[in-house]
Amino acid sequence: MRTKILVAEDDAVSQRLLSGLLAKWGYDVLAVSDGLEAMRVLEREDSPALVILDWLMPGSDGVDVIKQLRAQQQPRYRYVLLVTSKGEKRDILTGLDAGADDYLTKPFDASELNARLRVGQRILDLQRQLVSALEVSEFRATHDGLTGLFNRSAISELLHREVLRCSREHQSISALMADVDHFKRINDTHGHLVGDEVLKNVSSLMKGSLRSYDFVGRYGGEEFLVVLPTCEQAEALAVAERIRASVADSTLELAGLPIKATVSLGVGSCPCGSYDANELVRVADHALYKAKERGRNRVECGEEMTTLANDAAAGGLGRKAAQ
Amino acid sequence: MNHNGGARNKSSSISTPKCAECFDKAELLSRVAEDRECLLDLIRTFIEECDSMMFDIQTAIARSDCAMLQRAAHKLKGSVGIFAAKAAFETAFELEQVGQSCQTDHAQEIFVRLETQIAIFKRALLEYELELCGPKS
Repeated sequence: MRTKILVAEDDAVSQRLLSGLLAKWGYDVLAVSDGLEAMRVLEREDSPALVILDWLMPGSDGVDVIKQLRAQQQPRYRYVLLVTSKGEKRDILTGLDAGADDYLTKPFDASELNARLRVGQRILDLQRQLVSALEVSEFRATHDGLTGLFNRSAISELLHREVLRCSREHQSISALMADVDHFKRINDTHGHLVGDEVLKNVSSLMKGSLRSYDFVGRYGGEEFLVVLPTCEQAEALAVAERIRASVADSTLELAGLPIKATVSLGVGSCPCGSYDANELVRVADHALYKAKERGRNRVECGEEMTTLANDAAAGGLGRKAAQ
Repeated sequence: MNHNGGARNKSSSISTPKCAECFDKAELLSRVAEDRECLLDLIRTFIEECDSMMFDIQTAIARSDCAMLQRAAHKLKGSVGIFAAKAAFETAFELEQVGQSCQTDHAQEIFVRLETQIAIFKRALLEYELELCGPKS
C-alpha cells in the first residue's frame, strides 16, 4: 500500500517539484496551497501521517499549523517535516520548538529529502508498533488467556462500574454466577486439554446468549460472572436459563469423543439500585451454591428473591433439567 | 547565500547574466533526481506562474505594502531557487529583505533589475524546454 503524504506549499513550482518527486518515490500525495486547508485535512481521521509543511503560506503559516496540530493531541501521531528557505539557526529552533519533527531548507536536495522521509516513515512505523503492543498488553491485562473473556479483576471492575451507574440512574441490575458442573471429573476423565476446550466452549455459548451490552468474565477456574445492566430479575432468570440450556444441549466433539457438560447458575438482582457490587456477587454466589445443592444443571435465585424465584420456577425455571 | 559576488550593488546592465549563466542545469537536474518529465513539468509551471508572481511584487511596491512585498518576493525566490537561477534568486532575496525592513527607497530600481533577469531566465528556460523535448518530427 502506498504511504499517504500531505504537502502544504503555496508556491506552485515547489509544490509540483515535491509532488513529482514524492509520486516517483511511491507516495500517495495530497497537495494543498495554504495552512488553513492543511489544518482541515489534518483534522480528518484518515489524513496522512506524514506531512511536509512550508513555513510561509497564506491563511495560516506552517508553524501555526504545527502548533494547532500538537495542541489537539490527536491519537494518531503526525510526523511533520518543515521545508522552507528560512535557514537561520533561530528559525530552525522556532520550527522544531513549535513541534516539527524535522527541518529542511530550500532549495533542497532530492536525495536528502527522500532520506529524511524514510526516517519519518521509520518513526511512524515504530510508533504504530508501540501502539499495537500497548493494545495487546492492555487486552492481556484485562482478558483471560484461555477463553478470551474478561478476567476476574476486569469483570469485577465492570460490575462495580455498572452497579454505580444503574444505581445513579435508578435502574435495576442483575448478576449471574455460573459454574461448570463436575469440572474436576471432566479433567480427571479426559485430561486438562479437554477441560480447557470445555471451558472455551462454555465461554463461547455464554457470550452467544447475552445482549450486546452485557459482560461476562472468567471469575475463577470453572466459574464465570455475568453482569446484566438494566436487567430485572425475571429477565435475568431467562438469560440464565438460556445459558444453561445452550450448554446442556451442546456436545463437544473431541478426537471422535462426544463430551457433554452442564452449568449451574445463581442469579442476583437489585431492582432499586440499592445494592453494592459485593453484595450482588454474594447473593448470586449463594444462589449458585443452592443450584449445586439441588442437583446441578439448574438456575436458582438469590435468597432475598426467593419468592420471585419460586414464581419463576413454577413457570419453568429453577427446575432440574432432565439429563 | 550571495552567489553573485556583490552583484546587487552594481547597475542592472552589469548584474544581468547571459542566458548561459542564468541557471545551473546540473544543479537543477540533481534537484529533480534526474527526472526529465518532472523537470519539464516544473519549467511549464514556472512559465505559467511567473507573470503572476512578478505582478504581486510590482503591486506590493506600488502600494508600499511591505508585508506583501516580503511574501511575494519570498515566493518568487523559492521558485527561482529550485532552478538554481542564482542572479534572480539574489535579487528576489534583496526585495524580500526590502519588504522585511520596510526600507522601500530602492525597491523599484531592484524590481527593474529583477524583471530583466526574469525575462532572460524565462527565455533560457523555454530554450531548455525545447532542448529537453528534442527535435519535432
